[in-house]
Amino acid sequence: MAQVTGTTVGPVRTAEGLSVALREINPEDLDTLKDMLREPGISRWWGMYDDERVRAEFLGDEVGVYLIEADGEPAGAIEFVENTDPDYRHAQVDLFVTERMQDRGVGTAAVKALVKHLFEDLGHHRVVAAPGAQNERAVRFFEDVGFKRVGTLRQYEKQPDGSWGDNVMLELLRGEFEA
Amino acid sequence: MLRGEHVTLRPLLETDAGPLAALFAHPEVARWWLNWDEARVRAELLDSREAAVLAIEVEERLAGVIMFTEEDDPDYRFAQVDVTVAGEHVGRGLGTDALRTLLRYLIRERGHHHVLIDPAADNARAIRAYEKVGFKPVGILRQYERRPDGWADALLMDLVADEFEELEARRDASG
Repeated sequence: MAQVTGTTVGPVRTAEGLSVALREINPEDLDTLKDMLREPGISRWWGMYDDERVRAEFLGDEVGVYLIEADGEPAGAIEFVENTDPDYRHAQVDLFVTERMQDRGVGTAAVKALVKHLFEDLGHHRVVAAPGAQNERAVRFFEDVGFKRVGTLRQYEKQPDGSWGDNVMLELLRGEFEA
Repeated sequence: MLRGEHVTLRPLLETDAGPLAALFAHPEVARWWLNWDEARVRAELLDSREAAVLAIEVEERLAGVIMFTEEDDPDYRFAQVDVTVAGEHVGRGLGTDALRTLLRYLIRERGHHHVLIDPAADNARAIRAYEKVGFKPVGILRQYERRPDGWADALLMDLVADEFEELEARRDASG
């Protein structure tokens, strides 16, 4: 279903008929990203973002970031980092979906399109995700896509209040993935 | 230079490359550390840009290596470690001694609160040793590490500073 055409992945159609595509992010998306990250349902897990932090985390060279578009409208962002050590090769993914587009199959379509790209175009055999352990909805989301739970990493991620929170590590192998 | 009960951890020297390659050639090490000849020891240990690698010495003789990397992202700060001792030095608790020594440094001097280690899932001896030091299993990472016959599973384990310090205090109390 998903087609890779250089800078875009998709589109993929959701059950309700939304057309979901991933478009490689560019510096002009800064304000769009910042607005989405300010939604309470997103900042609760991602923390606070000013221009500098958006630039550092979404517009740098270390991660591949795509804007998720649903029927042409910004609906979230999805990113991956690659471990390129040939002995430990894998990719890690993370995403957020705007409140308006949550529970409508947009995240599932986006993550499936990206994972397919990682397996088929970039040659990965293993993809991991590590949402906050308290973000049960995100953990369930990855399980629904086909990720299997590895376990809980204790005190892994800094919380907005400065304390350390647990994360659930999940992984998906190429042979288990159904696009 | 870090001192443990029996071991000393010191920076690697040029002259360690040959002796280290010889240690890695021992069958019980070569099973986990594959194809570590002198050239690879130089490239990946002596000249490593990612990992800090220290020699483990006991009675002034090279017994193995211990290494760590640090995640600098303040939102995910942790250290990851790996250790191996070889040859006549196996089974004397030196790896455990070296690991405890390095953990004290990482936690007390470098301010880490969370340390990871990822032994091969079928390396039961290493897993037991790491549990003794305070690591707890997180879960199996499937198809994680490349071996000559394909991808192999690893056991991801983590240690948190508070638990480590409790174990250390108990050890000190019991002498």
